[in-house]
Amino acid sequence: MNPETWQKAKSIFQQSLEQPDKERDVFVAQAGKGDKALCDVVMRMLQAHREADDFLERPDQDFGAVLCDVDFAEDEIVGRHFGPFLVNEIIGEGGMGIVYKATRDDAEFSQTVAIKVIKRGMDTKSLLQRFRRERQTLASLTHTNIARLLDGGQTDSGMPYFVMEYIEGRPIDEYCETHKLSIKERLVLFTKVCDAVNAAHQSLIIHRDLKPGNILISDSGEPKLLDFGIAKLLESDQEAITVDLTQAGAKLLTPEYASPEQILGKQMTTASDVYSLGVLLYVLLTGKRPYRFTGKTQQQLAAFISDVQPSKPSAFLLKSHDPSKPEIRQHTANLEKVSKTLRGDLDNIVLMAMHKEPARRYSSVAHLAEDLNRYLNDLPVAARTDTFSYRFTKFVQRHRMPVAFAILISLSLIGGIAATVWQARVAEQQSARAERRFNDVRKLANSVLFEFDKAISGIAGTTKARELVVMKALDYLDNLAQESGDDVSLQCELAVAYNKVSSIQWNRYRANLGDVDGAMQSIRKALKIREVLRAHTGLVPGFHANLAWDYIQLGDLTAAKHELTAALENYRRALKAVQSLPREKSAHKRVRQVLAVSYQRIGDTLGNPGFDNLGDTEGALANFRKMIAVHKDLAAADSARADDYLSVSIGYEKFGDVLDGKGDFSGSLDYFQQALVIRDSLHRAHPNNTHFMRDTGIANWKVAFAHEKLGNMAAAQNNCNRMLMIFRQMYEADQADAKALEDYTSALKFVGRFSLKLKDAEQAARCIGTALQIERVRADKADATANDLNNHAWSLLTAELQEFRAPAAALRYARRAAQITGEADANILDTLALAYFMSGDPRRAAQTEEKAIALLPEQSSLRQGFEVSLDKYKAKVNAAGN
Amino acid sequence: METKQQVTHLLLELNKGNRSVLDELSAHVYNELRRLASGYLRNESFNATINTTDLVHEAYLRLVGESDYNWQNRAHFMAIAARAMRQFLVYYAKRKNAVKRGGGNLAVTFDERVVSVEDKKEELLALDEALNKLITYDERLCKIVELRYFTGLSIEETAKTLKISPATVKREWSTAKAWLHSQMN
Repeated sequence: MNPETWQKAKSIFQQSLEQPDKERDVFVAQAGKGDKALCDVVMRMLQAHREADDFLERPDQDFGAVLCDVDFAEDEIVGRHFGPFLVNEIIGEGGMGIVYKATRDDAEFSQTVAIKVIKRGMDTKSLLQRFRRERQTLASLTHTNIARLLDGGQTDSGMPYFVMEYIEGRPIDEYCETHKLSIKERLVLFTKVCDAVNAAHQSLIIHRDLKPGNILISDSGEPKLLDFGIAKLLESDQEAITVDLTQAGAKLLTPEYASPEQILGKQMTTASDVYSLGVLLYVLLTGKRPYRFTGKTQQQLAAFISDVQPSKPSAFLLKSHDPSKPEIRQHTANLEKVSKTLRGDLDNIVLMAMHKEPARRYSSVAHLAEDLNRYLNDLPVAARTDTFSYRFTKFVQRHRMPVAFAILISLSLIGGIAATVWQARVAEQQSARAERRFNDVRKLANSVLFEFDKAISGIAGTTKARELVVMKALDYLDNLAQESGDDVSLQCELAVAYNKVSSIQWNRYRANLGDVDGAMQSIRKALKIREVLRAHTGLVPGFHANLAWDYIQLGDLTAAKHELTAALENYRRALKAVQSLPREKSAHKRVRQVLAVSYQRIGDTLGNPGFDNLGDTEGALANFRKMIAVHKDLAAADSARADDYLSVSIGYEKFGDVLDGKGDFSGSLDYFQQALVIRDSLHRAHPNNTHFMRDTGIANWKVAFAHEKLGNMAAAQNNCNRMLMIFRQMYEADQADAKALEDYTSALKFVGRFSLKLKDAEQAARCIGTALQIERVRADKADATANDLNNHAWSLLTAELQEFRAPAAALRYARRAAQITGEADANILDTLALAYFMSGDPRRAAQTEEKAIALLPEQSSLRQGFEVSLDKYKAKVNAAGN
Repeated sequence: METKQQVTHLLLELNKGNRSVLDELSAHVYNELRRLASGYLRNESFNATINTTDLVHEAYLRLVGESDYNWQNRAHFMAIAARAMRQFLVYYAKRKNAVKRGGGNLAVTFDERVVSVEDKKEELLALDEALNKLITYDERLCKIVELRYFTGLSIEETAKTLKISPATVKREWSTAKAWLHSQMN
């Protein structure tokens, strides 16, 4: 085709698209004026246009990943020398790196080897250290069925490499298929592999990456195992801060063969190799892998491997058979027959080797091989299926949600009955019988709402369940409130319930649903009821304590919206509510508690640097002193409970925070350490309580912080490690909990910054990279909240390591966050402004920052920081103008 | 920063119509993208979701900088980056193919990866071939494909870059897709 023909074709094509679908063909024939070749081109284009709507349309991220993957130095290696070896050609490429074939070309003797050059991006320094340490062990591994590791080192450009015995052969699965081995022959070959793995285990070397690609069979039918011990070299040995490596590590391994413990980054043992061998046996017997993972995310993968039970090989063989591809299973004419052979013992052997729990697998590879030998000799095997009760227990452990659903259903039932009964009651003019029934139902409903939430709120993994409960509960409460008339005790109950719901929706410290506006609505409903009741009830301690709690919740919510004077006003209302009680009534424990909390909130708002505050540090310290005194009294009483001790520690911590803000670090360290002592003992006494767990993490953080300021780096590091471990555990237990995610990523960023101070750039990069990755996954979700987006944008702008900063991406996230919040959130606009600035648009940065400042009340302590930024942006605009 | 000045200077020359600087400019862009990509790679945990558009924009910020908001510079830059991306990907696909074909049977170690882009390599090579044909009689269409497919620019961004209307981009994009598809299948 020449350019003119093309222009014609193009024009006809584009015009024809404007015609109705049916008339296009005719149009083309007419416009083509009998030029058949031209018409053909256009007709084919029209057909393509119909068929391929999503052709070339793609989510644009794939290619970024590819690009990051290409290592351009690889090709340059061919033809160069590694020590005495001349590199001949690339023979393989995989997750870890590229494998080359090389020959020794000096006069002494000739030798062919395989050289594996590890990809960029691995932790080179520590990898080589580990290699030097393990070298002796690995070199001592001499077994006829194991390829030897000959040497290792570093290329000129700094990439680590390993020199290994060169093996010619085919992957074991391929070998079995092409040689059409029978089941029996496969088993015999497999037990040889087991023997080799077992020999390595006896030398205390775990393979960690067993799969067909690492098990080659020579033409003579002898297996050779490759890469023994390599996987371990590629992992870090620092257990405490290796969170990130579960991810970096997981990228390297082949997920289909990886055990649950490996995917989850837990301790690997010889049992992990047993698992991989189980998968391999599965593949050899059925011709297919038990799982397929293409296109799954790491998290889906992990959930899959640790939760989904594989089908029995015998059943899978029939199910997975694709009649359109007869070549898949040429080794046997009759699938039914093979399936029958597998049924029973072989099914059990495979599934036992592949058990999710390491302890329930074969205790060693030797035992697996022995069981197979027993099978081959028609002896009874040791493997048995799981019992029903075992499986049922596992089911309940895995499915907390359905239990929550069951309770929900009863809750909605109760709600319905309550409303009906209430109507009946009105109709029957307060019949005593109806009233009794109503009260019974009410009690039951209350106990479900309160006790159920109390029971599950401390268990990680239940955020979603709580959300459902809240929705249902609000429906039910609103109905009751409409019908409550002048029933005072019912109204009191309703107020308490609204407060409860409000704090599940949002509260200052604990796991919550992050719904500030919903929480605000709920607490206002509670206060509306209480303020009406106040006049009637007189000075009842319980009522006034509850009233104070409502004002505290409202204060917390107003403070969250940066309205500090209003917040302070609400806290003072709380204080007044309890102080209005006569002396003899204020000794009541609940009254004392809420008194202390009121002091605490007033202190925070006045001058706690950890919160948006009014800058009055002396006022803050005075209120915290009062707070600590009240809590110490409560904790000294006989009736003292865990929370009372916790409260004292909170007082210490806040006092420390203020001192820290004033630059008195030895003072703050002293208070933080006192707090940590209390938290540690609480966490030890209540190991399953996530509240205490989080509190202990925070206490460690504070102590680390103070140590760092005083230059006690070793002590700081110790606390850092403990903190990170706690937050990691909490995040992994409930990834739907927004707070746990934020805690964990903040902790990672803190440790990243700290590592930089210790000049450990690799560690810093791992921590910061992991934090960003977690944030990014959350921010990329369709239901990401403005907060998720804002957090990630901010991190991309301010990452301690320059290489992680990405203003263009940050701008995208910040824009979406601003959009979601209707440009009405000051913090988000502040982030957006910085993103504009760093992307080279100071003018818009300044405009946006001005909008952010306009949203803040005069007295907000955030304002100052925002104004500094604004000045900076304006200066840049002016500089550009001149 | 010296590279920055150089790149700005080269873009200026290009704006004046001096196309001889194209090679030098491309080399800078190519190297920067490479450097950025390997930077992301070094932080393994981060690269999983890096997207092409961000990568190119990031490169622009680094090479041309915050102060320069000249649309013409940006347009040239984007076009060059799009071409560079195409070269990268085709190179990658070719090498993947070579490894498979040349050494398949002898593979000492072959770790399958979770990444699905491997599936695209046939398509990439065919597309490259078709684009080489297309460019001889319709350069603009080819450019649109590079910007849209290889750098992930939206219709609007592409329109801005090429200084044509979004409606035109849409029409041309449909045409390009239809023609390429008819060629490749």
